[in-house]
Amino acid sequence: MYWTQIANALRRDKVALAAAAVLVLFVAMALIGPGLAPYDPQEILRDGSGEALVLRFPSLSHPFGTTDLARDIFSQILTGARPVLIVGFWAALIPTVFGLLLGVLAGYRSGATDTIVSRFVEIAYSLPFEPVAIVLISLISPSRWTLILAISLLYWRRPTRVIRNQVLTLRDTAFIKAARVAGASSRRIMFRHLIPLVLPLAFVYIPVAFGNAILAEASISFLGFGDPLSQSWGSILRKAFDGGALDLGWWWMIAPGLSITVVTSSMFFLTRPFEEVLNPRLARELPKEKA
Amino acid sequence: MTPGYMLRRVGYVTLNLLVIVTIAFFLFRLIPGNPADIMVGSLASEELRQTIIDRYGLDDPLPLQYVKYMRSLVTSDLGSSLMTNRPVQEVIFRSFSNTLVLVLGIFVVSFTLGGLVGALLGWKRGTWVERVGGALELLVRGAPTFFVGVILILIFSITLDWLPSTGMRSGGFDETNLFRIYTSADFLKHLILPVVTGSLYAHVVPALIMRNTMIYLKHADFLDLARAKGLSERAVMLRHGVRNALMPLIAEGSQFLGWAVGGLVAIEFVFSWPGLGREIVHALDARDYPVAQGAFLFIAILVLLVYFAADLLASSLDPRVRRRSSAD
Repeated sequence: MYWTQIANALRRDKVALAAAAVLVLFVAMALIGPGLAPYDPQEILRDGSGEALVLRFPSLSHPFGTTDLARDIFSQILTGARPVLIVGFWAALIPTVFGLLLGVLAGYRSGATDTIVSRFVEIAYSLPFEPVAIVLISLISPSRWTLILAISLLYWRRPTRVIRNQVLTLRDTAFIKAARVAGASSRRIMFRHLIPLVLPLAFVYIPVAFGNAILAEASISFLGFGDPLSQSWGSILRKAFDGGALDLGWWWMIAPGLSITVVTSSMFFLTRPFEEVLNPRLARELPKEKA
Repeated sequence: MTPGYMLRRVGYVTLNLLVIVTIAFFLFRLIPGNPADIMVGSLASEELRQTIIDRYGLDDPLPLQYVKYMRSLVTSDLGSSLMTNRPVQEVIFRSFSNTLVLVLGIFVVSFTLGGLVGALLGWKRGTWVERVGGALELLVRGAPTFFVGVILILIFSITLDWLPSTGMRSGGFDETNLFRIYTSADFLKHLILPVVTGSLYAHVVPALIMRNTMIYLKHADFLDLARAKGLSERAVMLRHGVRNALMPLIAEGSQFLGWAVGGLVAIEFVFSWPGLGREIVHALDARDYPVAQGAFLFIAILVLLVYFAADLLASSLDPRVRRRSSAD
């Protein structure tokens, strides 16, 4: 029921359109970035006389400068996009799909199912994110999948609650009742009627979840609990922090930090036009010429 | 508040506590291999290894370990740090009080700032102020806190040399009385950058909430009445609008406090602030599991209790909350 509204909203909001362009660029970077990188991100670079290019200020040949071990930061940013995208994508998709299914089940079944699900949502809300994530990761052993698992374990709560509340109001509408009277099974009602209805809600939630997952990945990697096998933007920042970038070469931190910020805020900008679709009370107050 | 409602909430929170404590129990037994080997290292003497195993009952069957664990929680004997041998409670108390100062500082600054920014954005709805301001808010929200912290350190500590960037006091400052530490000028100077960093991030949600409430309130009947009385738009907004918009902010406040107790890990890390979050990171790095487990439990239980208190407060202030929760 929202689809055309969403398309129209996106067309109106130029910032959201720009954000979408940034995200296309980001995905392209994650897909082909490693191939475009001018240097091996771990290669120790030397100048003509064999001297290592340690902590060089950004220049034409090294647009983002070099690290304390004479590595090219530009190449690291290009190759670092892929781990960010992979972790962000799965850690946004898994909890959203899980929350969608669980929310529909709890909202439609209500009763004992709903009580149990709601209790667990409440418990999940009281788990402090960063401490739980780093404890879980360091106890299981850091890897890309424990990272995704840790973020998913904490982010399923919001989509579950939002979808469940929505379904709770939908289950008493006339046409769901009609379907029930017509003899449709619970499963058919959930999959054929309820899920299509709440799907747009879940889709709008995904970019926010994506942005939050990228922030989570960055801070976990920065704290030193990221995937040891790949170097994401968060782990570049940690290396820079430990390598004395604050005193010796500030540019080392600027490129990865800005990359994370631009990608994450683009995710948030992308959902902004949908706010009015989901919350019509806001749209009503818009000045006439815009509405 | 009816006794029945009260009793059900207490029942729920007790159940949640049990689940969380149990989760923590199994979480800290996920450590692959014998934890004693990891805790003392492979070079330690057999005697030391045995001491650790006895001390933490690592050879006991799991159910017995669980009983012992629950007993140690009830008597709040959380063991002692493997690094410094100090009792875990002592480590936690000290670092928690440091975290608490930071949390409260960020709370005050971010909600004041967020309330003001949100009121402005809502008031200027549809103008360039709202468009630019709203975009800035999302940009700030998308920046990792530790990166914002790094930028502030680069500007204010390293380039301008105005403010300290690490720890909570300068060298040579010996004072053990917590109150006197927290009120000293030196401490407050150390507090500024971490608080600003946290507030830049944390003020966005209250600002957006405030903005939405203001937009809604703008055309509320009682404000039309105030306008009809002949009050200026400014007076209508400030005297009547903002006041009524505070309720949703108060609700968000409890959410913030619960989040912040465990959510400032990266900020504490960047600023070397000796708080609970940094304690957990260090304990995990050093495999000091008694401290990590103690700090983890402390944060989880505290968050639960904060939400519980907020829930009771909300239901005693607003009867609608009470009816809504008894309906679900």
